[in-house]
Amino acid sequence: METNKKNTTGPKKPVVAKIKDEHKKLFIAFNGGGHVVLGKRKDINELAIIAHESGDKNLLALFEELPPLEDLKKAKTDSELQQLQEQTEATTAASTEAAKQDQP
Amino acid sequence: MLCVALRNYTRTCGTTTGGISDIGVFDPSDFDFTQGAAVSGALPGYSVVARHTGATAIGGAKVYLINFQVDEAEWTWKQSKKGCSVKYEHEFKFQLPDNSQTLTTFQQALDAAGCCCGLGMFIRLNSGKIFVAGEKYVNASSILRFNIAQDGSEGGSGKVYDDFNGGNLALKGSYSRNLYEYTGAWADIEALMV
Repeated sequence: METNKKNTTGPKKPVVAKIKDEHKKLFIAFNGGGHVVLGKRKDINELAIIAHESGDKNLLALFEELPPLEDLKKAKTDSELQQLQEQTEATTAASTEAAKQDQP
Repeated sequence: MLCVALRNYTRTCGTTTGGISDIGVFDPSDFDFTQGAAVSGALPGYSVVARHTGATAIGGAKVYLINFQVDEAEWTWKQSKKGCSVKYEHEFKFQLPDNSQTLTTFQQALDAAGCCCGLGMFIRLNSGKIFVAGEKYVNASSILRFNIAQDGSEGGSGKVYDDFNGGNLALKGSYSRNLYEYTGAWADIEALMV
């Protein structure tokens, strides 16, 4: 009997919240982003998490695509871990280079 | 547990700093605040500030910075109760140098706001924390009225050259709780000033 297997080896689709076109020129203050309109923000997922957790219907209405909260939080954690890894690698590389230069 | 749910008061070990860095005022009808759900029974601060529907920057829906005399601004609060009724009295004092037409008209605007719709305030402490007073809309609903108004300001010309010439302004309001923080950055508030 054949079973219908899902392809679990393909690339994962990134979890991205999307703002509706009519709201992309709106400015909303959050996450220390300064004076940048929603269409140019790089941290829309963060706003999506806030919208989920607060249940603020005005925020929820901004989104064209709003992934589930669990997916957003996992994506955030993965991103932070990747940044930490990159920082560690950069620090290690810098230390190694410095050590080489100190050698006679 | 059997009668009341208490909690620890803990803070990350470190120093703090007194005094106020910046004060901004706004029309409470112009801005919506967003607050997340309670975690272990404790509400977080506000994480988002947005202009209310119909409010536009070009129409005047902005945060207005108060350029007070350096080291002459203070927020005080006092809790009291009668039986089970609790009150927090908030007071914001700041010194504005130079009696002038500008000061007069500024105070008139404060008086009008206090009579009609109250005043909203962002207060950035020298510790870096940002507090909100007089807010009206939270999570797309209006909260219980938190009226901040000018009350008890005084000033004068001074008598000699190096006496203070200007006003010591006082904004006051009572509410059922202490102030909530805005958990973002002051850069976000500055962006609402343009």
